[in-house]
Formats: sequence, C-alpha cells, structure tokens
Amino acid sequence: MEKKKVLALPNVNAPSGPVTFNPEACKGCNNCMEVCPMDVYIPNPEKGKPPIVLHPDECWYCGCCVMACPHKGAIKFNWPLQQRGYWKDKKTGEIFRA
Amino acid sequence: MTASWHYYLQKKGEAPEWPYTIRYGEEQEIECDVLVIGGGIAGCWAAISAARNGAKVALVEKGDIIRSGSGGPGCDHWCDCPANPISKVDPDEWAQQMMTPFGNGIGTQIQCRENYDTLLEYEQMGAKIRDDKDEYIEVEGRDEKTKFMASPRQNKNHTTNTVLRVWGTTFKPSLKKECQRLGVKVFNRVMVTSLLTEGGLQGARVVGATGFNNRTGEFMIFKAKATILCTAGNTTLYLLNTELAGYNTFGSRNNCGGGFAMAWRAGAELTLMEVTTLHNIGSGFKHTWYSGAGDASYENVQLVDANGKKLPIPTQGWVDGSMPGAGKPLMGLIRDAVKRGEYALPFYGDFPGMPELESNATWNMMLREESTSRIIVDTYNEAGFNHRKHQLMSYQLLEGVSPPQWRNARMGGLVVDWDLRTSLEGLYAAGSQMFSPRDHSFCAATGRYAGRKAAAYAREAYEPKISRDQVELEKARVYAPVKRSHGIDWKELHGGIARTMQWFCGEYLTEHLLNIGLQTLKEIEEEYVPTLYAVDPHKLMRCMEDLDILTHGRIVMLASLARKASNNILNFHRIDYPQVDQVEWNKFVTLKQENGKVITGELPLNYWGDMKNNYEANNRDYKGVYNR
Repeated sequence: MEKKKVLALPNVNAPSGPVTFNPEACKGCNNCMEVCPMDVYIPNPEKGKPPIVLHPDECWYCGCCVMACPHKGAIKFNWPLQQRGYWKDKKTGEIFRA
Repeated sequence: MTASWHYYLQKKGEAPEWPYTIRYGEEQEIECDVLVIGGGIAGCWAAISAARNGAKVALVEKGDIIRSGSGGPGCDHWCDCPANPISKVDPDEWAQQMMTPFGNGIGTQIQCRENYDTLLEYEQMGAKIRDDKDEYIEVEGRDEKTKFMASPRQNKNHTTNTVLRVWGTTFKPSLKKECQRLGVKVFNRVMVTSLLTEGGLQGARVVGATGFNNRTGEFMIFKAKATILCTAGNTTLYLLNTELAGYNTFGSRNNCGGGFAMAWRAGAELTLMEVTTLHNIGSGFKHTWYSGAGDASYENVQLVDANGKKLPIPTQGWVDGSMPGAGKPLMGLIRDAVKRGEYALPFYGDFPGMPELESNATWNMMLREESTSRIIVDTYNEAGFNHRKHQLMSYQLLEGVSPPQWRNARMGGLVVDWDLRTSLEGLYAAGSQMFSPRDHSFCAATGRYAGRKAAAYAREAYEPKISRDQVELEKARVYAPVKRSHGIDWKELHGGIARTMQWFCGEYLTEHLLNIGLQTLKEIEEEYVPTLYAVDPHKLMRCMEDLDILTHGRIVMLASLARKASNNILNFHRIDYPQVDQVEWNKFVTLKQENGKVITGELPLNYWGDMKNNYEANNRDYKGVYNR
C-alpha cells in the first residue's frame, strides 16, 4: 500500500457533500458560490478549480447553485443519503431509489 | 469529485487561508432615503417600489439577492389573486373570506387588491407568468385567451380561479435585474444587526441601521429617512442543529428572527409572538418532500397503497380543490386500517394513473418550473424517474409524526397600520416581518406597498441624525466574539437555546415552566454568551444570529406568559389557564420595551377597521389594474 501522510483531523460533518464537481467540466467561475444564499462555498485558492465546500452543514439543498451553473455536467446535486427518494415501476413493481 | 474542505486539507497538507480581506472594525457609511433590510421577496419588491417612487434606496441582504430568501428558488403558486382576469370572485369579498381570526386584515386586503398588479410587473421584468409558448394547451384550468393556468387549489370545479400556476423559478433573478436597472444600491453578504434610533433612544424615530459584511467583517452604518424591515421569520428556534435540515425546513438557517430581535431592541410593538406551531413540514429529520397526503405539492395526484388501492385522501385536485389535505383524524383511521391489513405500505403518488396532459403539467410545470422543487425534480429525472411509468413513494406513516417539541414561531410579528408603518416613526414592515404573514404573493404585494409608503414618508421627513454612542455600543457587541479564540461556539449556543425552548415553551405551557425557561435563557446570556467566539466573519454572522434567536426565544416566552388563557385557533394551551376561547381573550396581546421595561398591551382583532373602505381611503392615488 502506498505510504500516505496521515493528518490529525476532526470528524467530517454529515452530510458533507451537498454537491459533487466534475473538475474536467468545471471552469472555476464561482457562479455557484456567488448564488449560494448560505455561503456554503469559498473560492479555490487555485484559479480555475471548483470552489471548496466549507460549510456543508448549513446547506438547505435549495439547488440554486446547480441551477446557476453555466457549464453542463460541472456540478451535481448530491441528495443526502438519509433523504433520497424512492419510486416504483407501476407495471413491473420494481422499486428504484434516487 | 467531492470538493470538501477535508479533501483539500488532506491533499495540500494545510487549510486554505480565509479568501477575503479581513476588515474588522473598519467602517463604511451609506446615506439613503429608504433602507430595506432583507433581500428576499418582500425586500426586493420594497426596494423596487421605493426606487420607482423616486427614493434613493439601499437594499441589504445576508446572501445574494439573486436567489436569497425562502422564495429564492421559486414560487409555489400565485395564491389569492382574485383581481386576475379569469378570476370568478370579487377581490374585496375574497379578502374577507380569506380572513381567519388573528389573521392580518391589512396585509390580506393588500394582497387581494394588488398582487395581480404585482404579478404583471413581474412579467414586465422578464419573469414568466403564463403559458405563452403553448406548452400546456388543453390542460385543465388553462385559459386560451390570457394563457393563464389556474390551479385546482381552492378551486373546486373551477368556481374561483384565484390561484395561478406561475414559472416561479424565473422570479428572483428578474427582481435582481430590476433592482440593478433602477439603481438600487445592493449590499449583498451584509447582516444587519441593529436599528439606529434618534438619540439612541428606545421608541424614538428609526434613522437607519448597522451591520457587518459576513465575508470581510467590515462594519456598515446606514443612515436612512425611512427603513423597511423585510427579514424572515424564524424556522430554527426549536431545532437543535442545522446538519440534517435538508430540504424540509421551508426556510434556511438564515431565517433566524433577526428582524424581530432588532425591532424589539429599538422599542417596536410586536404581537402574536406567543404562537408556535408544530413543525410538520420541515423538521428536516422527516422525509417531507413529497410525503404526499396532505402535502399540497402532491396537488391533483391520487395516492394509492402498495397494491394500487386508492386511499381516501383528498387529492386537492379539480374535484376536491377546496378540501384540506389529510388531517389527523383521517390519517388515524388510515393508520388503523394499515394495521388491520386493509391498506399495504408504502403509499405512492400515482402519476401514471393521471391523464397524460395533467401529469405532464403537474410534474414538468408545477413541480419543476414553478416551485422550490426544481432541483428535486431534476434529480429524480436524472436518476431515471419517468412520471408516465413510475409512482412516487409517499412517506406518510413510514416517517412517523413530528414530536410536539419540534415547532416553529412564524406567526408573530410587528404591528403595522395602513401604511405598513410599525409603532415606530420611520420604521415599516412587510412580508414575514408582520404578524400573521402569508405566502410568496403576500410578501411581494406587501413589500411593494411598503416601498411606496416609505418613499412617500421619506419625501417629507427631516434629515436623520445618528447617535455615535449607539453605533459604538453596537460595534462592541458585534465584534466581541472575534476577540476570543475559545469558549462556546455558535452551534452549542444554538442547541442550548433550542433545548430550552423545547422543554419550557413547547406543548406544555405553565407559568412555572415559562419562568424556568426565562431563567435558563438569562443564565445562557450571562454565563455563556460572554464566551461566544467566532473564527471568521461567516461564523461571526452565525454567532450574531444565535444572539437574535436568543432574544426571539425570550420574546416568545414573555408573550406566552402574557396570554393568560387558552385558545384553540392559536393552538395555544396554558395548562394553568385551561378555559378555551374566552371572549375577553379574543384579542391581539402586544409587547414592546420602554426604557428596557417590558410593556404589554392589546388590540382588537379587527383593529384595522373596514378592510375595503380603509384600503381605499389610504390609497386614493394608487393606479392598479383593478378598479371598482
């Protein structure tokens, strides 16, 4: 196994990832950050990179950041695990989960 | 890829530096005719309306006005719009009909008379309010001539047409654009923490406000001839934490009762502050988005059990559009039937069972274009949900009921007159800042109205003068937490306040319990608040919010002590005053501070007089679409 420096870190807030980014598609324009009413994000110190989610615990999942993104596929809404929705195919009865 | 702080830290080996220049203590002073505090629906409308009436306007918002506030993502129906051209009811009669005891007669009358004008102005600003692209031809409720789409809400068999389906996701950005076009000076990312009064005196004319930038910490002083309070109610007072809030709070953590707290400190009169209600939609620990059954968002969709058997729950559609959702007694019967095996869990919203046109309109238009739920609809769609083939699960019964300690305090607010002026000269209120507020179109119409009235006052008002002593005191209060690096953080403070509210001002109300609660809040204020710390301007904002929440909690307890009676309409039950609905207590109990002393008073339930006549007497020059 590759040797990796282990930092002493506190526990991660949960849920911790209200969105995920595709670094290939994200241009780091920070539109999502400017739209967010909660200031969940801060800009990435590296220009052109996706912003950093600093306050995931304050997200109210309004989705406005995703709605504001001008780059298709750059940002994805990540429904917290305990709140994902279910549905059923009326014909087959098969159950699905978002 | 996750973009979390932890990921960054592990990758780089060090935390990123705070990205904004810190300006603690530095000052910026702004002068204006009309200052609007809060940039949600009411605030943006107030600013636009004041600017259109010739005022120099400053608009202050904690987030960014493009999407901030409870109506930021969208607008779930344009309700109570009896002046629209396809309406079948008279606006003044509808306003009367919408009035419930302890309702807000002034705001309701304004909503019913002016929210159609407001909607047309939304359209002028670029928002979409009708099916002009003919996407929903032949959908029930659509009017071919106007291309308006009536909703089945309160509209059984098309008898009213007072609620319109609108493309609410287009609303907030159109307000921002219009603010910019009119030259409204917008201060985003600024939290207002106090109102300034003449001579720094409680109860004197309001002459502006102070705040700070929640990214840089810079101190802001606003000097204004008139001030309009448009901040939110409080959805977090009884909730222990923010982590699991999810969608369902119907309001973000930003909604913390800050307007009530600063108005209280300035000496304004508040009422109905004792009213708290069960947080049914929105504890966030529940799965409420589309739990169906009683959730109005499921409008027009039949609920069925796991075997496809119809449930006796009103669909709130065209045949039963005026019915309330499933209440407690009905759900109790269904619960018993489930236990007897007569209905199988889980329940589903039967979208495929609807006519195709109707399910398209409900899923694609009402839920996606209209409301705060666009992101949810998109997420379902991306995950493969197809409303023509799939039934959406309802979490009724599965998720249980909210504990009675999970409450909200959204009914109380400032007392206003026919100018939407509060009890203080120079201070106006709109939207959720008033007592008994209503929905999006209520906030929009009352904001627009308050902007017009405040601008008229500002034209005649003499130059305001700010008390430097008052500014210095507030500056010391605001920056205290950043001078400490350890002690209690905002989250623990919040949990302590919420628990105190849950235990001593919840379902069980007695003088003894309320006094323990007040004593506990006092101890928190004296022992823990002096150790409150903030590591950056953002956390400083959350700290200051919790100080507002503490003040709001105290007001709720004081108001609960002042109403020495029980009342079924208010769902307010004092165990030590068990008699309900006594005639002598059918009144507004009011509270304010004079020289730091709490003064209680009262107002009759219809203190605004005749709604139609007084509206007209106070708005002789108003030119709207609706003219009698």
